[in-house]
Amino acid sequence: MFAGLADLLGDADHTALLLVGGSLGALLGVGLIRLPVRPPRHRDADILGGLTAAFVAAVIAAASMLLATGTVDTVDSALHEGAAAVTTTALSGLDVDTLDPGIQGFRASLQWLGGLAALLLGVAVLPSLGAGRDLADRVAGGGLRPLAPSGGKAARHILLIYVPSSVVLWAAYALAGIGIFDGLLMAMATVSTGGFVAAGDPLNDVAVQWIAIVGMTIAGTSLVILWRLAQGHVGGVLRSLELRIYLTLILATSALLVTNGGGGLDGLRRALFTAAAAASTTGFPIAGDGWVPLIPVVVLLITAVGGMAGSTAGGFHLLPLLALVRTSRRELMRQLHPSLVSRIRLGGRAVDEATVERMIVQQFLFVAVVATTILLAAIGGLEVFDAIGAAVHATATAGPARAVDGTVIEPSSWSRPVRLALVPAMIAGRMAIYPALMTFGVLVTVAGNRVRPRRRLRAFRERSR
Amino acid sequence: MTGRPRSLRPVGTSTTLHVAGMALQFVAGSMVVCGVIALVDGRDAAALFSAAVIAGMLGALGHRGTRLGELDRADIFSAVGATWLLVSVVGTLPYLLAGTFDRPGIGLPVVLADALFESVSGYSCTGSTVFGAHNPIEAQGAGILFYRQLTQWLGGMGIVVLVVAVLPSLRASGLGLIGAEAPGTGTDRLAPKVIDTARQFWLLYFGLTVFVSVGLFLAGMGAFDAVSHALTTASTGGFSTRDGSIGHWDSVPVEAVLIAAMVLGGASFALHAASLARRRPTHFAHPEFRAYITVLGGGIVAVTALLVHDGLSLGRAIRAATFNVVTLGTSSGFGNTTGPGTDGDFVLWPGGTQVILLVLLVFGGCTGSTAGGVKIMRLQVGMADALRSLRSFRRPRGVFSVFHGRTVLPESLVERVAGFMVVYGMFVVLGTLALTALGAEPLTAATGAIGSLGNMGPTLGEAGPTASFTEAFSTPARLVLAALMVVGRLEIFPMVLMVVAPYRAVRRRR
Repeated sequence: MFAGLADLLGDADHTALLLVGGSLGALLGVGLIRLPVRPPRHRDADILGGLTAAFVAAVIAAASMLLATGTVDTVDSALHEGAAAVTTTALSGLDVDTLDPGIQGFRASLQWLGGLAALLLGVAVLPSLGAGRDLADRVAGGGLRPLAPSGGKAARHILLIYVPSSVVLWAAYALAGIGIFDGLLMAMATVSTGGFVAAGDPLNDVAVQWIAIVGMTIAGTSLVILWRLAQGHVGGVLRSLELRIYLTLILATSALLVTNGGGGLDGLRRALFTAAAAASTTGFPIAGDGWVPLIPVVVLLITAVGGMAGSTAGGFHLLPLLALVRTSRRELMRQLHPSLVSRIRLGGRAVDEATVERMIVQQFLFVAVVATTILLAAIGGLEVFDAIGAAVHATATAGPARAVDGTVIEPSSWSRPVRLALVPAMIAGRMAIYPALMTFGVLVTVAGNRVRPRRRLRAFRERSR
Repeated sequence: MTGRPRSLRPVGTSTTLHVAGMALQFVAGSMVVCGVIALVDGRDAAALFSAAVIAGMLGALGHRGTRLGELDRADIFSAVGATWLLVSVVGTLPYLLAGTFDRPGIGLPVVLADALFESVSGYSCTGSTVFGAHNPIEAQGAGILFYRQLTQWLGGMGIVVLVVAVLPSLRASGLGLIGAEAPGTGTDRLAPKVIDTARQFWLLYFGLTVFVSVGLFLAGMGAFDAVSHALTTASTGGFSTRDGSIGHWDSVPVEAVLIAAMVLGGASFALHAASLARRRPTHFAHPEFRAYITVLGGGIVAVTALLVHDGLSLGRAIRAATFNVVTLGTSSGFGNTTGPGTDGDFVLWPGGTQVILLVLLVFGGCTGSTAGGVKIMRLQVGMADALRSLRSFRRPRGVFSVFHGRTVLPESLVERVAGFMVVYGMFVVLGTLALTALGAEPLTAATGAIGSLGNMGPTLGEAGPTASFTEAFSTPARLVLAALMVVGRLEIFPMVLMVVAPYRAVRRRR
């Protein structure tokens, strides 16, 4: 609906289509909510399966709209572009300067909603991964203040932070002189760590770059931190180890980039921009020509790690990484003392072993998804390093990949299999891996139970005898 | 007067020096053997005998000058880590004394670094080399060539295992030493006594080497080359006596023998022992071996299909794919390319095939084998743990176990495997960062780190099957690779704990 109205700013040739599509989508959504009989209780698995289905449905709906408006010609391109928008990845092969305002608005709104959905998903998923108690916790312990005492209230608080942040960024971009509409698009792309850039390359402007640096850094910060800041608890916020690591990563990467790309305020700004874009997985691209070999690897790594848990940033997230470092240290000590009993502590609280195990498994699954995507992308025709970059960026939902020398790779040159191979990775990455793979597992189990290949094969053999 | 002369009596207690000293005496013995071989062509014999004398004296000093103490876990890791470090350093002596890496315009630090790289690559069975067009392998004498091959053979089954096989005084502590050195999640006892277990492992290993030697000789190699390549095939090391590696022979029978031997070398020696004891192959009853064969078979089929799709004829594709999938999947690292740009030059293959080979580099062989990598069993356990975690999401109150085949694995083992994979991943990342910081191209650096940690040999990028590591990596980068090789050969913990344990002890005392 928003995109339909935005299209009025251009030649309005898609306005009707976008408005009708939006209305149909709204009707379908309301119908789906009202029609089915609700189960007596919601298991975690049901919620996660539902969210996965919602993401997939959103991708298909976005792809259908892009096809209907003639923005893309083929189904694979439509699915790829739809996933790039909904999952806030921005691995897009479209030339934004040729797009109508309506389509630009459509893509930006999809990113904004995708970012919001990722935050809400965090409330559902993160409790199992060690960070949820900060988002929604019935017992506030260890001197920490959670976002809310329950999941429902946490969702309301998320909206209370997300919407005003978007408005403030919109105002800042508009005041920087890029126009109200482009400012809105950029704000939506920044706050959701989406990464679609408005037409006319507004990122060439120095003021816009500074606003984007601040916006991207905030977008990669946990909402709990932002909530505490809004309540004036600055001291507690600064004690957050995860926040300190996040900011250190950005500053350290910036320092590395400054040493390679020249000093001065201009060099510092460009370095901070690239570092913040990578660490927050926003992926706003500015050229990084002539990088020494270390820099693309560092940028790729901080992109894979991503921002803080409980933010719109994608990637592996810092909290699980912190847990993994502590697990590896414990494992070393266990080699010396096999009976050692030691609990992993995060944010001042001991984490139970089941959660630690899930964090390790999440890392394993993240690597497995990236490896599978690399393999498929390489089979689809990409060079090995390009395939690694594309897979990591897709799974971390981080926007355009870079070549070995730091130049941005143009996804429009990718083959059909490559574009299709990246779609599942984008969806799985945006959903913090677990829900997507769990849903996939359920589908495989259901299909297996229906088809029962082994039993049928055995029966067939017996009949043949 | 009875007993040893006063000068050879132990002056103190040090398990580390005692074990390392014994290992150095074996190294000295290997140098003597190579010195005798060097007498045939008259090159480098003096260097090899001199190196043997120095290594032997150092070994005698360490072994006879100390007595065994009580072994706790920290001592075990220290002993194994220090043994490997000392053996790698002393292993450079033949190269240094023979001037193998002396070249005009090259300073002493580079020569020392090259000798250390080649020594570490040998003992850790990695197979990466600093020989190349600037310093051809075939320009070396027979003694040095055979010594190079022998380093891999000694490192393959494990030099500490060899020490355990001849030191009855170690008793039950020997199993800890074997466990710290042998790749895998534990040590299978082949006999009630540890010393007998170690001896049986070495006997099997020796038998496989003899078997491969005969096979290669019958396939058309000369006697020297056949024995030399058998040494590095049974150990899944990958060193060759020829610049073109196995491509020098361009022979299907030779490649077939090597493929069979590499597959056996990459499988658990405990399984081989069980099969010999029962007089029938029992390998396929083991889930890890089944997965190992499935991975290799799947890799061969996929790479063949992609090569055929790329325009290679089916026959040539099958040959190139089978050899290279097996050599990388078992962490051997031989090459069958007959020159840059020919069929076996996998760095020029399509991207998809290279990624498959990269995945195989990570996987490695079976636990209890001479192969490197993460090991198939660990990946199976990791996958089973991941599936359990996904199941527990669906049924939060369910109690699920992790199975390997039909065996329920203890939680401690699952945690150990998970912890190992985390640490392994961190070393790969840190290694890649260090190598790129030292100027290596990103893909070469990443695959170099993976390849060195997994003891593979040639990698993707600029360090492919026809390249020398001197061209792809700077001297400091090669030292980083050497460190990764030792860390990877001992599966990380012994080398790290060798440093951490004394540091913690000192800190506790303070």
